[in-house]
Amino acid sequence: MAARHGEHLRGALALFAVLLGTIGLGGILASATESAHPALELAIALLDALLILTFCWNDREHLRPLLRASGFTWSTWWCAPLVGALMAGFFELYFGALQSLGLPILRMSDSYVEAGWPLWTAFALISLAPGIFEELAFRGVIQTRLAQVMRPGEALLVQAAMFSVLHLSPLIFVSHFAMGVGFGWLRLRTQSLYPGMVLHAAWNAFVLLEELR
Amino acid sequence: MSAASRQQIAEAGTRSARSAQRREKLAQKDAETRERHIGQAAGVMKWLAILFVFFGLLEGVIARRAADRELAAIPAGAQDEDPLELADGSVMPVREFREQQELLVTLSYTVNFVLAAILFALHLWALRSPLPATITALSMYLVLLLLQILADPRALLSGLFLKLICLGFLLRGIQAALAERAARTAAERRAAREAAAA
Repeated sequence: MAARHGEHLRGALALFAVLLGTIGLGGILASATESAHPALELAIALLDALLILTFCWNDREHLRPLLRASGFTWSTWWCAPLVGALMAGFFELYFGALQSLGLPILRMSDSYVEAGWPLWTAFALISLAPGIFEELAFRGVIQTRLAQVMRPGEALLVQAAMFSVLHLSPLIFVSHFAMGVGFGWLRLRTQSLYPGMVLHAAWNAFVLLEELR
Repeated sequence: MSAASRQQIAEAGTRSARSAQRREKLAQKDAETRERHIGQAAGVMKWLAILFVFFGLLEGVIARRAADRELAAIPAGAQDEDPLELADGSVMPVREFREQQELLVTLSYTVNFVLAAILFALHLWALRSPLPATITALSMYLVLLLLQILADPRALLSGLFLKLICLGFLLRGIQAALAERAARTAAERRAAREAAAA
């Protein structure tokens, strides 16, 4: 039994380590070239997508039910708007507090504007791609595998912690942990990945629009 | 009632008492095994928290001395708004330079102490549920290593032995947590079988 638990755990940690590796690679290349060109972000996003889809293919039996259900039923339609509203309130307070302390907040769109890339590319790479692939990775593969070896609530917290630290910025650990908990709860409540994907993509698009205003 | 019946009843009673004793001993052994595994897993995070406090103090002292040296290099009589040329050729007002140096010292203490607090919280979580706590601790530690490498690739080699020891302990903690989880599941199944048999 410990061996079976270990196998589930290894799968979750392997995906986390792989994503950490690609982010590390992106960071090292960005430091070496002394720029954060969106072409590098595109390359890393494509690599991540390929790796995540490979893990998803391995776990297709577990992921199929989460991708078959729409998640937007009469009893669960209110979940995504509720999580979105709570996130909006929390982020307003949290980032407001960070700004009042004079701490810098990273802007996601600057590299695209400086490189002269069209805005739709920023939306594709900052909103759409993470909305799909981060949900598949964290709420799909990782949370499902962790739930094989621990209680669903514990799996939700651990995947949220992994999601937050993977963004590599200590200032946003807390906010992204909250996001991970919200999206993980959506996945548990609706038994579907789609509400989380929609909310995640919509949220990132909203933040991007606010930056570009 | 015949003597044979009375003897059969007495033997059944003895067997039942013996099997209850055996179940109790097994349950006690299960509990001790689980306690040992939980202690191993939770202990890893407690010691890592202590390490982070120690290194937080050390790094804070080193950062304070480095900041004092930098601040001592400011020309005497310089006003807050006077421009100061830094070693990399950039220019910044004296006031901003002083604030930056103080912030570096504060961050050296704060980051390590916050990490120690998180690890201690994970230690407390591990006492109840070691597996999620150890996995979270390992994820956090891997990301910290990556952040260090991205800030300065040479940092990978600095304190490499200690980093490997910490990683080893965390992996050992996960192993212990998995063993505890397996022992708990086996004990629950055994209890369910016995309840069904009774």
